[in-house]
Amino acid sequence: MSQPKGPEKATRLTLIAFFCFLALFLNLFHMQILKSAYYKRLSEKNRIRVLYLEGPRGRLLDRKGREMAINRLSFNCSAVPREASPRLRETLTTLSELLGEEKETLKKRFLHGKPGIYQTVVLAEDISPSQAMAIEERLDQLPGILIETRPQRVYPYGESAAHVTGFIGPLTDEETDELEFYDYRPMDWIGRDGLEKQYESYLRGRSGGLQIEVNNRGRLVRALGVKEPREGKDVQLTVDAELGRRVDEWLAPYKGAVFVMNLEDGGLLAVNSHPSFDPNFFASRKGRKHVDPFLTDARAPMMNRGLRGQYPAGSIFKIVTTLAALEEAKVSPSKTVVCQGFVMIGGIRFGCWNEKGHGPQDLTEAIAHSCNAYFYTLGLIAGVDRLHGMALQMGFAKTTGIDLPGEKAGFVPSREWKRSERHAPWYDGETANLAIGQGALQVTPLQALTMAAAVAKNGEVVTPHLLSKIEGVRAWEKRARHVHLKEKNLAALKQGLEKAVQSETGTGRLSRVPGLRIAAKTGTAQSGQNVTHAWFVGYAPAEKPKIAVSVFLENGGRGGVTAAGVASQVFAWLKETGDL
Amino acid sequence: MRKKINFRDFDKTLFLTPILIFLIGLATIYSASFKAHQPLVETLATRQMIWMAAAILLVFLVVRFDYYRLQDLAWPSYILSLLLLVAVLFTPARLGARRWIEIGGFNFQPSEFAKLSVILVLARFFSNNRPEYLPRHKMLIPFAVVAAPFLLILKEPDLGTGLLLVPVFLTMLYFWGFRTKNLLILMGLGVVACPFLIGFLKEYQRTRLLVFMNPNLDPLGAGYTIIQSKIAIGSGGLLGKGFMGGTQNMGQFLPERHTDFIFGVVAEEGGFLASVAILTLFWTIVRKGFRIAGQTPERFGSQLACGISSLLALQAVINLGMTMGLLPVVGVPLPLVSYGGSSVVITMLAISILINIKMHRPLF
Repeated sequence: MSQPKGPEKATRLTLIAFFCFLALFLNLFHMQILKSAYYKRLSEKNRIRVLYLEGPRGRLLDRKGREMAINRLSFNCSAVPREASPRLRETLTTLSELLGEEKETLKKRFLHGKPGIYQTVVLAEDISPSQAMAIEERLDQLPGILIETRPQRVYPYGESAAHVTGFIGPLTDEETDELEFYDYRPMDWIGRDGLEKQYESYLRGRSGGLQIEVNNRGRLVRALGVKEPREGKDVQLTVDAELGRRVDEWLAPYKGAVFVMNLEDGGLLAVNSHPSFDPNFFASRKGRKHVDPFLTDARAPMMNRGLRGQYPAGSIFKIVTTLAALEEAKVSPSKTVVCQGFVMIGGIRFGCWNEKGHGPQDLTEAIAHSCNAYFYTLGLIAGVDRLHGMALQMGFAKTTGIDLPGEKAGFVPSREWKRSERHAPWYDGETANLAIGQGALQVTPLQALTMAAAVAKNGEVVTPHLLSKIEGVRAWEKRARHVHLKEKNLAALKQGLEKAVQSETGTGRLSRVPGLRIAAKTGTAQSGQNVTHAWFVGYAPAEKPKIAVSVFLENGGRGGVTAAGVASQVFAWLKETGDL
Repeated sequence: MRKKINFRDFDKTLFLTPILIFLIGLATIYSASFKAHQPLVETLATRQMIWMAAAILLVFLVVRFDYYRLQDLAWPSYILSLLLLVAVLFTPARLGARRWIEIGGFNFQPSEFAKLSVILVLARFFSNNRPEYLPRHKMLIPFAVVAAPFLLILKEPDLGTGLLLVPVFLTMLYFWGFRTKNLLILMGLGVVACPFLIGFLKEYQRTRLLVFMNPNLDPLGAGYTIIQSKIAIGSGGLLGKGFMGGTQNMGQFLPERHTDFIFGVVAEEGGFLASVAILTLFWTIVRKGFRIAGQTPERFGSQLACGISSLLALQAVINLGMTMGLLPVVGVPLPLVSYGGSSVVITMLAISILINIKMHRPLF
């Protein structure tokens, strides 16, 4: 067969095009002439309603399956303006009786309410089920009125779990444009903070909708289209909601954070920051009118101090100083320093917190007593470079990688930083200051926890996390890196930490719990204000560590008193429940 | 044997038909984007008119040159369009896509330009080579020529414009003399590859394809648009509801009503008469285009005319089919009617090349 020539091929192509156009023509004839009455009815009477069906979000569950975020069915009374307008007065009169609201208020909402893209205006939000029923029964006399149901997010643990759950909020217009491609709709809500934000992609429900034709009484004639909404996935956490509730009570007199870690895999049992906020206000349109006090409160309740607050570490940093000196500078654990209550460095007097002096101290005693003189000496032997290096190895100056948004990295000063940023050489006095956790050093309570856990686990730095399971399936793989530490050095450090609690002169003795061997380091950090910050990091049981705890109290006074007290309550509670 | 330029051969029908289509579009854009209290100069219709004025000037400029010289511009313009397509990926995303480059307050859409330059390069390649004598390895060139802009446009993402290149390419292959049997094999392979390609699509694009099969799947999204568009068209009836009288239009029920779904407004306000008018006008252009392709003995001009005609035909058919719910919603504008400067200028440029080919073609 020979190929057809150019003109012939052109004719064939024309023919194909002709049939396409013919098909379009016939279809137009069908739609605009034959079925035009049908379409006219649909368009003229405007009897098509689009109902938005919000997909419920997945629940947040604690380690025992207690519900930390759930959905409750809520009812809105809405109006379709073009259907309601003709008999508005009578309708609003009836409604104001049923709802117990001023007729004028309802009218105002009707007139000024922004009709959503699907042409409904909300007249009353979150009305009671009985009110909804009453309206539903009388819809015949209420043209253009409908009851819309939606899942309302509820956080049963409120403030005590706010920094874990976070909250959800409505999409802004800009986000709607951008997220349309991820199947978000303008009326959807999205995770704004905490785990609601972190695990948005699992938790979110997919919204659906109905396009229905209604008769002049607002009754359904037929459904033109249905898209079923889909539920989000349940996310189970490592935290214990009851522990969180108790911790929130213990923290009540203070500003601060308490983080508790299960050493087995780095799962966090408690993530508490105080003061806190009530996420329930943020998660509903009604409640959002009352959130300003939280946002403007000078005590910053919205900030999770455990991972967004950066503070001087104080004496808990002596753990890093110890490791730097023992591991890198080959100092022997049996090294003894006589504390006279102060040390002279570069002609300046650096005092110990005990002005009378601790007398001769070896490493374990120095840790137990938190003797500054000893650690000035140790820090100077190690030098700033080794202190800086060890701090970085223990996870400071970078985020821990916890699965919560907004984590801060903190800061560890170094010789290079001083030179490039401050244009000055590094002085020995600064080394001494760094050795006891003061100066430019900034750490988050979560980093302090990671450090304590790393000591307890013999150098294993685990990534802290809250995620445990998604829809009942294990979803977190343990992540850890190893810092090599010599056994005898670790043993000396751990002995010191245990002595800090068990010894009658130990700084952490107030954290004692009968029948439990706790190892800990307290800290009292200068805050730049009158009252010091109180720190406590520790783990238990000392012989086979299972739990690590970090307590930070902003302007909380002495670490050995206030922070150790809170820590003691945490340990005691965990012992009671059988976790220790 | 080349003829001198003679404006007696200037095809007035081919010049006036698009202007008629444009005028219908202009009125519709005004109606579809009407905002009370908006001064006339600020309306989208005015902007569209500025584009058209520029495009018509371009037509008179283009017809003066011999289209034959476009061969030299084929590769440079192709490379330029590839560069622009890469550049556009670095612009800030708008509505989730990177399709526009802003030049002096006007937005330019490189993919529109790319369509035309692909046709130019293909026409040049096909006129210089014959399928019977072409070595196998060289056969890959036209495929690569289409694949590069195709993938870049999909990356933007602009599914409709990207997919449009494929049938245009197939038509030109056929016209070149590629065996029908091989063509069918190619199409078969394409169908087989579809499930894999769908994996690369964005979720919303996948939904749109599924929704085409069943608009009820997504009554709030793409399905909503299809249902509303069908109501708009059908309710227009024989005579329509009159200029600015469309309830689907003025009530803002129909989304994208001044761009991709503008035909819904034409059909609602102008009725069956206006819809058929649009259909007939497009048919006139397409028929003339293919006739020029068939009657031009010189191979470059003939291939070029074929490519341009098929491009115009496909855009019109796909857009109309999409608004009537016969084809998936892929986002192809209706040439000369939908609001959009790049599309207007490129379409007029394409039509001026058609006119040019008719004026300049050598007669033996």
